[in-house]
Amino acid sequence: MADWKVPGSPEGDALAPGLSANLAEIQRRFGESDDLIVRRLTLGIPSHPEAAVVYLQGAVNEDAIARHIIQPLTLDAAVLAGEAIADPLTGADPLQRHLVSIADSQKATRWSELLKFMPMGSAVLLIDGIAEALLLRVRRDLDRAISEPESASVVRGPREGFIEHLQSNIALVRRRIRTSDLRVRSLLVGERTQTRVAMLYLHGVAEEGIVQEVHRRLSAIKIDGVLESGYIEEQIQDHPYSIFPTVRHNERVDIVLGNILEGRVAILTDGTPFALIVPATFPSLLQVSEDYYERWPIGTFARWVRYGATTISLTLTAFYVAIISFNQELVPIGLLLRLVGNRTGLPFPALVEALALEAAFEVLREAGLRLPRPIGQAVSIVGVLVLGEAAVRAGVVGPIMIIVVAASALSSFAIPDYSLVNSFRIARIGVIILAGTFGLFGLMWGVLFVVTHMISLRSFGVPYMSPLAPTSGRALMRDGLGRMLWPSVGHRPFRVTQDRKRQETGQ
Amino acid sequence: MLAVVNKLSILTTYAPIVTAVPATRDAWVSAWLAALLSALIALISYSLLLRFPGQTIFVIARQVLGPSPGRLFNVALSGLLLYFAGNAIRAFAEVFVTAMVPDTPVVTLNVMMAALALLGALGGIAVLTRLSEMVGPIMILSFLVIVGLTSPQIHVERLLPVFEYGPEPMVLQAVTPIAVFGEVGWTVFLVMPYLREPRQAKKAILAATAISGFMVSLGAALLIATMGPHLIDRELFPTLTIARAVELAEFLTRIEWIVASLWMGSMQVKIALLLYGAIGALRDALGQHKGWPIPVAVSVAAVAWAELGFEGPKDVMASFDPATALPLALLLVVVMPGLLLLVSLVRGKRLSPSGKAANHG
Repeated sequence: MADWKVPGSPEGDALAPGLSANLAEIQRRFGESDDLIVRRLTLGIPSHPEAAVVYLQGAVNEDAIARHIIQPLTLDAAVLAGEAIADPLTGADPLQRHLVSIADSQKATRWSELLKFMPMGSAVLLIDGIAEALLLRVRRDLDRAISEPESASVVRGPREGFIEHLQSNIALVRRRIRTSDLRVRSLLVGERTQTRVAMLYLHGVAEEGIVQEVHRRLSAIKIDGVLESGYIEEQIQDHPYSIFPTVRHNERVDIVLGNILEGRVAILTDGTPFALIVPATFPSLLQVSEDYYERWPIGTFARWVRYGATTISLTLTAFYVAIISFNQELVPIGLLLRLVGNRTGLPFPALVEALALEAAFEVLREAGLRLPRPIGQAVSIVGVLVLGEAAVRAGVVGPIMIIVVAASALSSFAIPDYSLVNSFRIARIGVIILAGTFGLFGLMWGVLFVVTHMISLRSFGVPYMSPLAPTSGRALMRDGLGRMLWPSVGHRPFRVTQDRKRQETGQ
Repeated sequence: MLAVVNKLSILTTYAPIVTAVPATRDAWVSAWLAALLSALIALISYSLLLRFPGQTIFVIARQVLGPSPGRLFNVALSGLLLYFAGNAIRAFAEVFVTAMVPDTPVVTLNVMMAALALLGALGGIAVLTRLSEMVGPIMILSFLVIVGLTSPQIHVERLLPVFEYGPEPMVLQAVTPIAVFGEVGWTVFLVMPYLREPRQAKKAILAATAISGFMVSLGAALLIATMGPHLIDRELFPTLTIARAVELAEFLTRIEWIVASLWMGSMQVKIALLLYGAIGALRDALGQHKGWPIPVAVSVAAVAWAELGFEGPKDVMASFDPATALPLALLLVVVMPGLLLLVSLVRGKRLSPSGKAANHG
C-alpha cells in the first residue's frame, strides 16, 4: 500500500484524538452511506481503550477483518498486555507491530488518506485518545479464472489471458519473467475511481528515457474515472488526432511478456484485461506471438501475408472503383469485357456501389458485434449470404463488386491489431472516395497521404514506421518484414531498448 | 536517400529537357557530367555548413550578414524556393494531365500535389528523410524491373556512335540537368545541420550523386536504346511511352501508372523540400517559428504561381530552358551559399565552441 502515490493533503484535515469525533466525521464524510460499517470494540489491554474498525462493506473481506483485526485486538491483546504493548497506549504503532496480522498496513493521520484508501478496500482502525489510524488492506478481490482471450486466439501458444484484477495480472508476468530486473511502478489514476495502474518494464533493457516519459504522462493524466485502459491510452498517446494507434493494447500474457523482453513498457490497469504496450510501431502491430512459436519460414511467410493483406485492405476496392470508373485501359481486354458484362444495367456508379456495400458491411459488423454471439452469427450469415445474393439478383450491385468488397474486408481481418483494423477501415473509405473521384491518380494520392501521415507519427519518441522508415536493413531482415532463426533474432528492436543484445549469438 | 529521391524526380522529365540540342544520343553521358558538376556545387554548401555546425542556412544568413540583411536574404531565398516549388507543381500537373488524366483540371492537380507536399513539409526533415527511405528503394527496384521488362526492345547500337557531335553539345546538354541535379546542394543545406557526424555529409553527397547519376544515365540510355534519339525528340514524355509498351504474359500491361506513381512519390519529396525551405526561410525572416499561417500562405503562393505563371505545357517546358532555368538554379545552389561562404571567410565568421557565432578573423 505504501507504494501508492498519495497526493498532498489539504491543510486542516488531521484526525482528531477523540474516537467519537472521528466517527462522527467519518459518517459525515461518507454521507451516512449504508455500506459504511462501524464496529466499535474495546481493546483487550488493562487500560481498556475504546477503538473502532470502520470499513465499506463489499469493498473488504469481512472474514479477514474478523480473524486478523478484531480477534487479535480483543482477545490476543490480553496475552501480550504488559509485555510488548505499553499501557497506556500512546500510538497505533504497537498494535500494528504486535497484534494486527495484516501484511499490508500503514499509519495515517489525515482524512484525505482515509478517504483515499477506504474505497480501495482498506479497513480503518481508530483508537480513542490517539490522533492516528491504522489503514489495513483487506480488499475483497473479485477474480475470475484465467482463460484464453477471445480477442486474440492462437493455434499454437499459451492460452493465458489477463483478467480484470491487477495484482493477478502482475503475478502472471512475474511468474514468467523471474528476474529482479522486472520493475513494477504503480500509481493511481482517476480523481474519483482512483484506479490502480502499473508500469512493468525490464530495468537495464527498457530505454530509461521512455520509462520516464511513460511515468510522466501517466502522472499527468487528469480524468474523473478510468473504466478501461482505453481511457489511459487516449491520454498518453503521441498523436490524439490520428486515426492510427500509437499505443498497442492486448490481453495476451505472452505478447506482453515478449514486448517487455524487447524493452518496451507494459501498462496494466486495474479492472481490465487489456494491457497497453509502448512504444508501438506499425510493424510491431502486424506481429503476433505465433510468428515466434512457428518455425521461422512459416513466421516470415505469415508476416508477408499480413503486409499484403493490409495493402489489399486499403487499396483493393479503391483500385477496382478507379479502373471501372476511369482507367479501363489498364485492364486486359478479356477481363474488361467480363467486368463490363457484369456491370451492364446496374443503376449506380461504381463509387456509390462500393460505398453502399462498405456501409452495409460496417452495419453488419456492428450488428454482429453487439448482439449475443449466436444471434450475431446468424445476422452475419443473413447479411452476407441472403442480402448479398438478393442484391445481385435484384440488379442493384454487381457480383464482382461484392467479391472485391468482401476480399477487402477479409484482408482487414488478417491485421492482428483491432485498432489498426479500424484505422484502415476509415482510411479505406477515404481512398475509395478519392479513387472514385480522380481515378488511379486519386488512389495514388490517397496512399501517399496515408503513408506520409504514418511516417510522420511517433510513439514515445520512436518513429512509428521503424524499422521500415527510418530503414534498418538488418532489423527488417532479422525481425521485421520477416523473422530469421532465433540466433539471428538475438537483437532487440533498436530505438526501443538500451541493451540491444538479447543473448550471445548461437546460444 | 533524400538527395537520391529528390534527384530521381528528373527521371520522367529528363528526356524532354535534354533533347533541345542535336546530340540527344549522348544524353546518358551528359547525365554523368551533370551529376559530377552538381556534386562539386554541393561541396560549397558542405564547406559553409562545416563552419556553422548544427545551424540552418536561415540562421547562418543572419549570423554572417547581420540581422537585417540576413532576414532580407531569407526573404529572397523563400521567394526563389517558392518559384521552384511552383514550377515543380505545375510540371507535375502538366505531365499527369497530358499523359494520364486528361479530363482533370490542372488546378485540381496543382492543389492536390501542393497539399501532399505540405503534409511532408510540415513533418520536417525527419519525415522527408523517412519518406525517401521508403520511396527510394521502391523507385530504384521498380525502375530496374522496368529496364528488365523492356530489354527485348533494347537496341544497344542506337547508342552508337558516342560523341558524334563532339564534346560541346554534350556539355551544353548537361547544363539544364545541373539545375535539377544541383538541388543536392539544397538538400545538404537542409539535412546537414541535423547530422550527428556532419563530415559524413561529404560521403553522402558523393554516394547520392553516384546513385542518381547511374539511375538517370541508365534511364537515358534505356530511352535512346529503345526508341532511338530521333523518336525521343518527338515524344513529350518518352519514359511513359516506353512503360506503356511493356507487356508481360498478355496480362501485365500499361505499367506507365507504376512509373507515374513512383514519380509522384519523388515529386512529393522534391516539392516538400522546396516548401519546407520556403517556410523555414520566411519563418526566420518574420520571427514566427510556429503556427499554420506561414505554411498555408507559402503553399497557397506556390499553387498560385503554378496556376497563373504558365499558360500551358509549352510554358512549363520553356521553364526548363537553360536560359531561364540555369541562372536561377545557380543563384540558389551556387551564388547564395557561395556568397555566405565568401562573407564568412572574409569576416572570419564561424560557430564558436559555445555555439554562438564568433569572429575568428
